Amino acid sequence: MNDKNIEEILKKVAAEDIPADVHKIAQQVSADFSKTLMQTRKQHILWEHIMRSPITKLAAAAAVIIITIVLSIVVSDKLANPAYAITDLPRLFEEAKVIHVEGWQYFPNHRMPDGRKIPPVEIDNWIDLENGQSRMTGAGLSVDKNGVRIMIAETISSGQYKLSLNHTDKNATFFKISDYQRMLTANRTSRLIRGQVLGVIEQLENFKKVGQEEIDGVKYDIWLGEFLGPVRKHEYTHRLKIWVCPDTGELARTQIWRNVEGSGWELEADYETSYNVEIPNGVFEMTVPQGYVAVNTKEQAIPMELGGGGVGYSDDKYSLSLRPEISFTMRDGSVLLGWSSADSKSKTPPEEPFLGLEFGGPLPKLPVEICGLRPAGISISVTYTGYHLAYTQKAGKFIEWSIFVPDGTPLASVEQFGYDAIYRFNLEPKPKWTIGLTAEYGLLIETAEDFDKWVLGAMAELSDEGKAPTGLTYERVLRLAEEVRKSPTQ
Amino acid sequence: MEYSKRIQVFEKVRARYSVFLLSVLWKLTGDKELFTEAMQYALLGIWQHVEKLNSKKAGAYIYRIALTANSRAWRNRIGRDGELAKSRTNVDTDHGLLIVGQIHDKENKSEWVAMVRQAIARLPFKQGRAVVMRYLEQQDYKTVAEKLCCTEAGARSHVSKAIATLKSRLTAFIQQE
Repeated sequence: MNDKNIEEILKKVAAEDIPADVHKIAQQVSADFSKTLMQTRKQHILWEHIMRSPITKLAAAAAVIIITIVLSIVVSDKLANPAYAITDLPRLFEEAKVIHVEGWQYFPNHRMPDGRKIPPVEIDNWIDLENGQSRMTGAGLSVDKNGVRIMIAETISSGQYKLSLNHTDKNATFFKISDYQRMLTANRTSRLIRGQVLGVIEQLENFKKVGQEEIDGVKYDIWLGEFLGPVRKHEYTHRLKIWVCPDTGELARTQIWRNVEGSGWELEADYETSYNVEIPNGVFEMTVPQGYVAVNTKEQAIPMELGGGGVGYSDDKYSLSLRPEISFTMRDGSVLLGWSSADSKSKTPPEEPFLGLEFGGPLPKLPVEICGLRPAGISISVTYTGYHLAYTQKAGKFIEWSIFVPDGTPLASVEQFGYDAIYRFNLEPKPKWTIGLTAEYGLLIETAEDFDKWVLGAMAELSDEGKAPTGLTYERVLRLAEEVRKSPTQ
Repeated sequence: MEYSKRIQVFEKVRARYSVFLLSVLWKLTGDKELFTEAMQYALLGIWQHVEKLNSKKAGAYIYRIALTANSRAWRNRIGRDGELAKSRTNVDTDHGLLIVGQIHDKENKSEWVAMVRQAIARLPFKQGRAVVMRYLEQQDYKTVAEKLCCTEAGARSHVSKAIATLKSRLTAFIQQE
């Protein structure tokens, strides 16, 4: 075999006539594609169309490779040695200024009423960490006996504003965000992206190289790792597969698989991630799409409330709410949680449970009391006991700030899965309410500066005066945790 | 871009490049099933990058889309062991006659041509594009150089590097056989 042979083959291939039926195939593929575009605005339906096309017999592998554009991670100059270690990957993620994640989100745990798989949702997330802007896709399922409803939303954050686009109900809402929330959002978004792509980061060392694949002329190592999931204890429930260039550390692709009870490993996400790429014009543009109902205008933007989602319960006696507002994890593993609990039917003044509380003392006897935490989704028994630190008040709501100190070694899995709340009712009779509530791992507080910026910042944000309670310092809180650990009851 | 406008632009771009895609993807795949798959990936690529294809740099993007689509279709065809699924190759066996003294029977000749195409699908983008322009589209080096935004010598270099890469991969294949 020499160069001439190859050139001759290429020339012959070039001279080949295109068979008439290939013309027909091309026309049919094009017509089918155009028809699908006309029928729907959702690209996940395109995917469905492609998979069902009668003239297509995609190989099984093709089912998960609809978008595979190989983009490279810009490896930081700080990496003196270009040969990567698998544990370098989280570092690569954290060194990025722009992160672009493109791919598909699947729903392996659920099926359509007729047993078919639920079509995936396209994910196209942009994060401009340098300028505090992001555009994120979110997808959820509403499953009941009548069927499955896929809900798709997008959030564009830029500057003081956030535009929430509900693509399912076709409406758009503007929110105004404070400086603190902007900083927090940028930080959380980065963590979210990192989590979406890499799953349980701290377990990356579990990875094994399982093969190699050449993509667009570049050879990639394929690494595979399996992880314990949050629900089925002592069982590997997630599998992470990544394509990494051995020469440069470039990550080409990521797949997350879920071990579905009864049907085995199914794809949950298939992403490509690129770093420091040029952001296309208009990505962070806050325009209400045509055909969408604008709930408000930018000028009427609703102040964004700090805090996560809460839970509620109502019967003829009570109207209860419980809400973890924000949480942080200290470097010693203790958890700081701002939370609120109220019964709007109660005649007790809301400030009463907070009277006489002391730093490091028992928690306020709120209607539903988060008295402890435990690592979410695992069976290993570590219990975090709660102690009062301070409270703040905003717009009539009282927020309790507590520290939860673990009675054992904190588990690495909490970073990914957070903490389940242990609660009790300070009510008689007790309501027939079972609560499943998880507090996030939140930001890691490692220094006094972190504490002042994030923890005291959150307290100020959730205070009518815009100030944190006095006397709270990083050292004082750490000292309290240490004293609790040394105490005989702990 | 508004959705209806996007569809209009897509149709315009598709019409403009339909002959190009038909010709190039068929030559690169030589197999109806692979061609169908590559064509679908190409259309999806056009849809995703329709704004870019409606700009002055469209020429460069369409090659990237076509070559990426071809490469994906081939990747899907390749089995876990890195070899072609033999039962699924279906190419014109006449091309195999050019292989001198290496492959004798008809089945292997067709497999050989498929291997050439597969090797093209794995070329780095610039080399792949140079091969497509120079051989499959039969453009002269001056045109190739203009399209690749390089000198004529640079274009020749891309082509010769591509041929060298193909040769080394095909030689490795022969040795394995």
